[in-house]
Amino acid sequence: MLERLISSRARSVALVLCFGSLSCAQAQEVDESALRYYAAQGQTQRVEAEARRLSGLFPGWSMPEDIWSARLPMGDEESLWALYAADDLGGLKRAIAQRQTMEPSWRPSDDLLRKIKRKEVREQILSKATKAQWFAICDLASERLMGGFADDAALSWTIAEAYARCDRKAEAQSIFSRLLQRSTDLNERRVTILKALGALPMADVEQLLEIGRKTATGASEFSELANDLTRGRIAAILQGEREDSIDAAQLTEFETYAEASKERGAVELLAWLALHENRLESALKWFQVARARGADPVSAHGLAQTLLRLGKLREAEDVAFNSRETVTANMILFIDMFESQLTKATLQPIEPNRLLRYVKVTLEARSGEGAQALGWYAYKSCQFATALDWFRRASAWLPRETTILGQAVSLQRLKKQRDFMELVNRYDGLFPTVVGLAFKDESEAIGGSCVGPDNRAQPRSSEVASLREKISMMQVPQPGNVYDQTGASNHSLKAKDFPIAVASENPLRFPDPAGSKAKSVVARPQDLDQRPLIARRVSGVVAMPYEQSGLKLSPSWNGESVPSAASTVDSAPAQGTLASQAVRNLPSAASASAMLANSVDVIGGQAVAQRLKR
Amino acid sequence: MTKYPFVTMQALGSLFALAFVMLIMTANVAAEPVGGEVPLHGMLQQKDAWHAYKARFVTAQGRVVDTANGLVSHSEGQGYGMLLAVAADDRASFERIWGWTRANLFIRNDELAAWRWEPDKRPAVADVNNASDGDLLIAWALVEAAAAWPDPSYRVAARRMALDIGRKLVMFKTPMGSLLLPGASGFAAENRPDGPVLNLSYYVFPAFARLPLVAPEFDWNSLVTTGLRLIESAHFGPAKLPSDWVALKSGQPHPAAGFPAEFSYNAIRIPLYLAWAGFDQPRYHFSFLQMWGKRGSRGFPLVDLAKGQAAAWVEEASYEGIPALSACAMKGSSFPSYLRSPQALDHYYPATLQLLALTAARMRYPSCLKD
Repeated sequence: MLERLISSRARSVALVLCFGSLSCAQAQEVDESALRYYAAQGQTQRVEAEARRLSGLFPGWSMPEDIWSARLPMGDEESLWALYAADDLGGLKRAIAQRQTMEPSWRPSDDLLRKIKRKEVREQILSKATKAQWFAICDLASERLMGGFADDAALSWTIAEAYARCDRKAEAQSIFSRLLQRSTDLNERRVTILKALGALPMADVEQLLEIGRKTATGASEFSELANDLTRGRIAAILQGEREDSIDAAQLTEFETYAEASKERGAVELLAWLALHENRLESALKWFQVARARGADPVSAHGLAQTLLRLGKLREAEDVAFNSRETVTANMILFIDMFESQLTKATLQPIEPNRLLRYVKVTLEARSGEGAQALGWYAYKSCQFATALDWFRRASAWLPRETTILGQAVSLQRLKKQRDFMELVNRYDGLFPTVVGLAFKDESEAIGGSCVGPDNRAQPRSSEVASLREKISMMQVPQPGNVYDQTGASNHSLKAKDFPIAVASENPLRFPDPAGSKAKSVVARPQDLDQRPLIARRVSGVVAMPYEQSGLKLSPSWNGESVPSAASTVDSAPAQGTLASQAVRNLPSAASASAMLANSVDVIGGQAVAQRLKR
Repeated sequence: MTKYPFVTMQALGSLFALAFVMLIMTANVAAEPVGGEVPLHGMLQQKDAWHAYKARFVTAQGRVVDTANGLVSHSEGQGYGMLLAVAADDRASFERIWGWTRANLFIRNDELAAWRWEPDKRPAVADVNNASDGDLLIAWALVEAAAAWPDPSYRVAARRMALDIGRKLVMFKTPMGSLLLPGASGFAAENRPDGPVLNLSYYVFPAFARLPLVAPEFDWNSLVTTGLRLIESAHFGPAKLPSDWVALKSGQPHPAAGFPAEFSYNAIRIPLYLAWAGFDQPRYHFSFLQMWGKRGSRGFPLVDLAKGQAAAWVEEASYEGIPALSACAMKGSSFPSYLRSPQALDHYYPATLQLLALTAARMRYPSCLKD
């Protein structure tokens, strides 16, 4: 009899009205412990209040018929339930253990054990949330658990956030929705919206807002959150979740708030939004305000991007250079900007201090992009030894075809025939433009007209002075002084040096790492005279220039025998990738600086928005 | 008004701003997924094992050699070598391996590595295509190096690589979630009748937890959620195991055409990366451990998925590092002591997996290494 009573006390199951994914016909457990406790004590008013609470939470629930007749196991577990109600799980467990020592045959009711377990899970979940262990929370949380804590907003928010992060956004949405349906506490309802803003896409939050109630004046109960909602909508735009603009009135209200407050986050969002929408003057204004308010370092990237798009190249360079140590994106932007500057078709004079800055950052970042740009700049101004020095670094750091080409033509200009031929032979089968140099000296055609000490086209006398001045400004610092222009062999180019056997590894390293002389028994290089002279086909590479005369390459590693029609590296990116969208969206007549801005970091604002969503 | 901390702050102005600030404050405490904030640096404490590994598989120039496979090298192997060097706190070796990698594999017009290099061929690069796991491993190793040693060049290279991985190799918004293409060319829906074709062992979960440090603009966590879901649904045949290559044309994973329908050398790394990222739940490890539990003393099975039986047995004991890590993650089993030092005759691949498993165990489940 006692067990039956305990059982009925705890396990009354009601058909309750549910929301969202918790289906409406689903049986849910309703915790009637308090109700029955008050009834057993004859506290009529408390029973009525608790019944109202339960009816509010579970609209299908009704008062149990035996509420006044059922007896509680008074004196049996009452003190334990008091500890349970006080959330003193440690004390409760100690009390149970103590009683079991005294009464070895006694065991707590299943109901109590189950509820202890459930409360422990709740504590685990809240604890894991502080460590951001969202996937673990998703495993712990269950509908059954939620049923037991349906009015526990803190737990619901936590589980909803975890679901949102575990790719279970629909369930997260259901929990937020259910809280809004049930809760009558305005503060709790508002916090629910704020929590949803941090966890869900804005479109889902907009749906939640529709559950909101109207005040006596007809306004939304969430109208006080207007600025927060505007933030969410701006973040959605920056994250590509929506393509339209923000409502003008909402934006104006938010701008007014941002100006009046001392908060930097609002200003940063406005700045990124303006940059995203190409309202550059506005972006500049907001980034400057953000900066004055001690903005997040990444704002310096937005500022540099804005200045770049406004055509204020020098200012953009300064911002990027000065913030390069704290913002890696700006170090990269700085390099990409000077790479673009140094490799222009027409050589532009650059002041020594500015060039020195390029050199400094290239060496700091060990940047292949920067080194090859300095190489081409030196090459085009006929400083071939310096060019070679930079190209050797570029080849160590990023040996692309244009870089190896630069290294090869610099060697040709310096008449370093042996080094030149070793290089060309190493990249036989891989880089057709480099191989072509073995058959036709293109070193004067490549890189445009030569402006500098070696200039073949002598300027008219009236121009000599200014040209000299320009040349002195273009002296590119040489990083290593490895090569000079004296002592060059006059050995002329001979096609017989191709093909010759060369080592297959690129040996260049800058700086030369400690331990490079380390002994190793692994894979000693093959003797040169055993190395193949016929190149094999490399998958994804176009035909070598000598193939036109009928020479055949050996098959590729996977048996391919014909060259690619186009280099696969330059082929269209896979559909569905961001790169494929960038190609599609790039305006055909975009200016060089806009192209650069697009190529460097089109999604800078998303980083901020991403963080805002957390 | 004091029930919810957020609400008490409402008086100060913006609830959202405060929620944001609080979230930012906690953001540095832990990243996604579980324990993603644990740095790799110094986690390989068996220095003798690392020195033996270097002597056997890393050339003086910094090339990591696949000793069972014609002494070739892969971007993947270079990435593993770089990770192990950071884990062993060996900056000189890291420099050597990274120096070789960039000087020899970064021949493409982007920031990804050519995947295959053969020492006796003209030219040594075999294919200009990349392998996404190799790129992820190298980029992740650079992130860890940047965290371990003060050198801006690591961070710059890591970000450049991460940007191209995010832009060129990931389809972030497909109906199936975020898909990681195995390479920039040849695997997409437009390239193959059963495409997109994926390799689930290229989902290097611990890397996704660290790449946000250099490229926060991408939703790396979406690769985690999609990868977990795909791995759970790629339960093929009686053994309920994933194949090395899966086709997603239908929206559900199937063994890809043109590849053996086997749980083989690729897919054995799936439980390694899961455990390494802290995913220790039984549902991720159960089918692997169940299959490995039947192996007896015949070695390590590669499974024919149609039959659910071993297609081949591999004898090298180093492979046992992966079942050991899985059991450690799922059940807290002790990592066997013989797997804490190198097996003298084993080749590059199993030897590498063993050291990676040991490193992962130290990072995530140190109690498995206590006795």
